[in-house]
Amino acid sequence: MESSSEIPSPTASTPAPVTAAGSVAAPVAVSNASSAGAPATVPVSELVSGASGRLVGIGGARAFRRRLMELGLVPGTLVRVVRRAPMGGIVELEVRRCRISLRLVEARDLTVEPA
Amino acid sequence: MSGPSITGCGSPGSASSGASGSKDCGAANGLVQIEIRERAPLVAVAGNPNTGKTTLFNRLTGHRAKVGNYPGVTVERLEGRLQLPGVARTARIVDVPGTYSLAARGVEEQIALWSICGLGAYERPDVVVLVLDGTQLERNVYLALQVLELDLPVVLAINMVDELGRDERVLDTERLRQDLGVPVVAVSALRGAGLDELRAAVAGVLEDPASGRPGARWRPGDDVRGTVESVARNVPEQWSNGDPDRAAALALWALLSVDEDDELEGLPPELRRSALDERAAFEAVSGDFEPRVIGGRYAWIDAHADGWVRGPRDSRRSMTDRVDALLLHPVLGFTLFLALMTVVFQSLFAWADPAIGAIEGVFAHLGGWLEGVLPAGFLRDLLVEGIVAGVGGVLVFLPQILLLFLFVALMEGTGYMARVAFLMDRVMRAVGLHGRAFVPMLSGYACAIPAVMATRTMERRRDRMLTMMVVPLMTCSARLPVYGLLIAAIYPIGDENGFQQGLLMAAMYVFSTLMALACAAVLGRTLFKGVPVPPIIEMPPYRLPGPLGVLRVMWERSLVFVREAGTVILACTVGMWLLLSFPKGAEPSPELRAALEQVEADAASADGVDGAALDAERARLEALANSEALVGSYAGRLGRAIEPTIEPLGFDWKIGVGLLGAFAAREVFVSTMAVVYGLDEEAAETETLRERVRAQRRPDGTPLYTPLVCLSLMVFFALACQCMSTLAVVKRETRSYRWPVFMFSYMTALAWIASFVVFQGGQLIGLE
Repeated sequence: MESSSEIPSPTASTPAPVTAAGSVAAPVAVSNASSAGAPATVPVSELVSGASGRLVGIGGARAFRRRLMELGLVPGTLVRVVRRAPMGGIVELEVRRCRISLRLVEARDLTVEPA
Repeated sequence: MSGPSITGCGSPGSASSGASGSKDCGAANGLVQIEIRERAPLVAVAGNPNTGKTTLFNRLTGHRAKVGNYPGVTVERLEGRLQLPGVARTARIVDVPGTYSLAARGVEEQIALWSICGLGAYERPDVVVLVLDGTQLERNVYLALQVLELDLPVVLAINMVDELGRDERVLDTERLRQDLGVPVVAVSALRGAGLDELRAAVAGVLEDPASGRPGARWRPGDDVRGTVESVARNVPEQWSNGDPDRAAALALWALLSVDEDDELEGLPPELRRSALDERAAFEAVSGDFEPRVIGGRYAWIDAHADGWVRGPRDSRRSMTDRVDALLLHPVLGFTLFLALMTVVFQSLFAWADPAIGAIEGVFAHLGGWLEGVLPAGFLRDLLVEGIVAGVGGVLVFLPQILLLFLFVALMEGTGYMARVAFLMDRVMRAVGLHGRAFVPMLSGYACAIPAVMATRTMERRRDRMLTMMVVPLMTCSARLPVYGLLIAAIYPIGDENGFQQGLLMAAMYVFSTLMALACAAVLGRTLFKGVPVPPIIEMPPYRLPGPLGVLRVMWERSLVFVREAGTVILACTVGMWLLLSFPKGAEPSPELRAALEQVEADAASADGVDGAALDAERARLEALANSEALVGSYAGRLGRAIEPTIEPLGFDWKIGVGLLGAFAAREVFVSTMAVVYGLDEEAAETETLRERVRAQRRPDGTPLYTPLVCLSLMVFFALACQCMSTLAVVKRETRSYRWPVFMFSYMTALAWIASFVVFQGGQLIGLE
């Protein structure tokens, strides 16, 4: 059978591990949005359908962040909101010509700089 | 299924030599050389999901691949043969499960790296064919970069070039070849274009492995190099074969995969430890580790991707956008979805019926014919009632399996299945189920067998298992004859009762649905807890699936069912037959024998006797004899033995015998009860049985089948796992006895408790 199109996202239910040195695996480092007077960043879940933004950071558990990055959602990538699910709860994103859907709960962990 | 390789560099304990004279495998001695010549080359086909990888695989093997299994997991493994130009031996070709990355968190995702790299018990492939979707090269090349880091011989097959062409976009294979350093072939798996070139390229790399091993394209930057090198020191020698590049790549893999709570297996503890420690040490100073690596690879891709495809922006997307605007529309989209689901359900419920009837007819005929030509005895009975009936009982599921997988293959192949998840997520999530679980759950209303098989459309094990465990609670069509009998016992047939009958039947559907959802909610929060977060769903562009691929899915599923679940079902059928018909030879009771002799004597005297009345009397007595035989059988004794446990539910031992018989299939309850009550099996369909049921009395003379008992029995049937075929197919899909045992236990316990509550509670409040 043709492989299904789902990306297993085995994010741990536990919070991101705190390392010995005390560094918490927090949102991906903000690389270019910290200059003075930087435009406000918003969760991608706040964008309306059709709006785009440049990805600034991803929060959530390590495995979840890794999965999204491996699908091309690395900081600096342009993300467009394609649509929201009819009953809500899901948002479809376009990234590097690919479309992926996330639950809104997780989409709140994706911070973008509206473009 | 391939065993450990003779020459696999990665296999533990086989550090002697490598396949195809790879530079890293050391000098081969003469003996090993001979073994190499005798061993058919192994080609692995890997790629992202939705790249047409399986279509290409089927093209290359001429649709003759065999379904096997990866050891220790429930993931299927396709293996076939591949003819290569100029290569004497026919190569073997295996399909690696589709993946976006080699990084893994659990055993099933591990398969990609293990089988591409030949780790553990896996055999190292001589060539890795990476199938990339030409319309989505950026993301697809990400996987290719990882494989190239591992320094394995690679050929790139760029699929979907026909789609590129339709959009007046041009793939620059030469540019890709230069950038990635490996042979690149443009193919269209759907149309079968470029296959000869692909075979030639694979043969070329087999001949000269170095031509497909240019080394890593992207290497870790100075910031993370120290971390990678520290971890690389703990990569086992058998894994890296002393190749420092491969050791570094595997170290990088460990750094991205290992987690405190991962479920990886077969990882050396020191590698796991050092990956965790080194990453922690890095992050204490420099922040997150992953973006350095993943971002680095994507930066390499961004720097090169512009040259790979030339032409206007993808217009294919706009086609998909237009279709999605319709299919994901808040009103229209749902209407169309419900219409499609109605068709799926109707086909399983009604359209499959003629084929099911035909199969049953053929086997009944075959049994009857064998009964006529074979001498009476144990062997004849075993053949007719055990084996022929058992094979028929297996094949009877095929029409529904074929139909459901026709729809599943179409929905997967077109890309609509991803939209089902998108549309249904909100509803299904309420009880912890995946959006895609909707299709198996709906199919469960027809039959749990195809529905359990359809859970494989879900990628995550947790979603599959949870759905599988609750699907058999849906009201399948085999329960309907049982409900029909019992409802008729409560409300005697007649126009004035039609409404109540219908209402009660509808209530049973609602009850089973609510129980299935409640069980999903409970199991999802207990047994399947901890596996986390909602899925990330790729929404692939809409495509037309190839008819051969669809047929292949239908054929494969049917074959797997017959071969693997079918054998278990057949064995169970024979077992049930033994239980229900032995010990034989128990003589009819004296009164019955006397009556039989009287009938025979009357028949012999011939004169003045009504022949028809005599035949009727004879049939009546034979049915009574059958009833006595069943009562005296192991099943009959077992029915008596379990009576104390079912008495609190309002059932007597005769119902107990029916419950045991129903384990073969729920509808068998009806014909078993007919035999128990001394009726011909054919009477099961008629009013005779209903009257007989209503006439049953307890020893104290009160009616047995009071409305309360009937209700208790229906609740029991709604919840109990009265179906060995379901258990057999769950065993096949989970590859373990644990899950069918669990399913049987929890459903039976649930059924008992619910029936107890209904019966005892009903009596308490004065119902009868």
